[in-house]
Amino acid sequence: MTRLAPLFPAFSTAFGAIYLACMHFNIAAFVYYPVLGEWHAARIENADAGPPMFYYGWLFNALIGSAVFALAAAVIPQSVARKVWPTLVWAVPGIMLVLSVYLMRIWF
Amino acid sequence: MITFLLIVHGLLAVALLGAVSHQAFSVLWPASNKGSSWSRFRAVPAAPYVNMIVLLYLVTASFGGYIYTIYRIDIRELLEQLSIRSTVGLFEIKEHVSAIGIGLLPAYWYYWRADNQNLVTRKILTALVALTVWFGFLAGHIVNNVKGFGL
Repeated sequence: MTRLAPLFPAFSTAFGAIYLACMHFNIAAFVYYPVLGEWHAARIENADAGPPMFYYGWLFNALIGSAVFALAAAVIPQSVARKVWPTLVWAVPGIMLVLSVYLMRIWF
Repeated sequence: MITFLLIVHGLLAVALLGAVSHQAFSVLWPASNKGSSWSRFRAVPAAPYVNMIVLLYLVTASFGGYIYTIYRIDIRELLEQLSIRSTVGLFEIKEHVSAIGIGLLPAYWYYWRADNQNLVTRKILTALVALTVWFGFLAGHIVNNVKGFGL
């Protein structure tokens, strides 16, 4: 955990953005059908399947995507990382929080 | 069973709300003295709360994630049939805010480490985590008690 800890700011910076992109464009690693209690790689054509749930697929994508992003960001020199992450780590998720509310305006 | 799980989810959320509120107020609005109850509320040592907040957040979100399946089948369908769109929308926002909050936890934990002296970042992350918890709590209660709110 201690060795991975310096990657956490990059992970958190990317997580919300990747999650929201996956949600908005509906890119889910898998779909859950609660009526059937089944997981599928994509939507299925079944009248009895009930409503699909993409949420867990979006979360999974965000988890994997931000982990890859954090590993890639590890190549950034420490001198630069120490300057950019302390701001990006709250600014990007903060914007994503506002954006998530904005994108849901269709319900109101 | 769903009622039991919902109550456990709510109780965990109350514990998380208390912990995160104590911590957020203690760093954003530190108490200058310990005279009043309000000052004592803000005078707690904030750092020891971090691990418990992360744990409670993840456990509470896991319960919520499980209950969500039942909401999706039984509740949301009904709300949509009744055209109660604002309640569905509020729950959608709660779902996304919680997800972004989960993503914040690693950085939140990292910036609370004793060897990390980015105090401004620590304060802002604490405020954001508190915001997601408060929003999730209030939105969840409004959705759960939507009849009483008349939405």
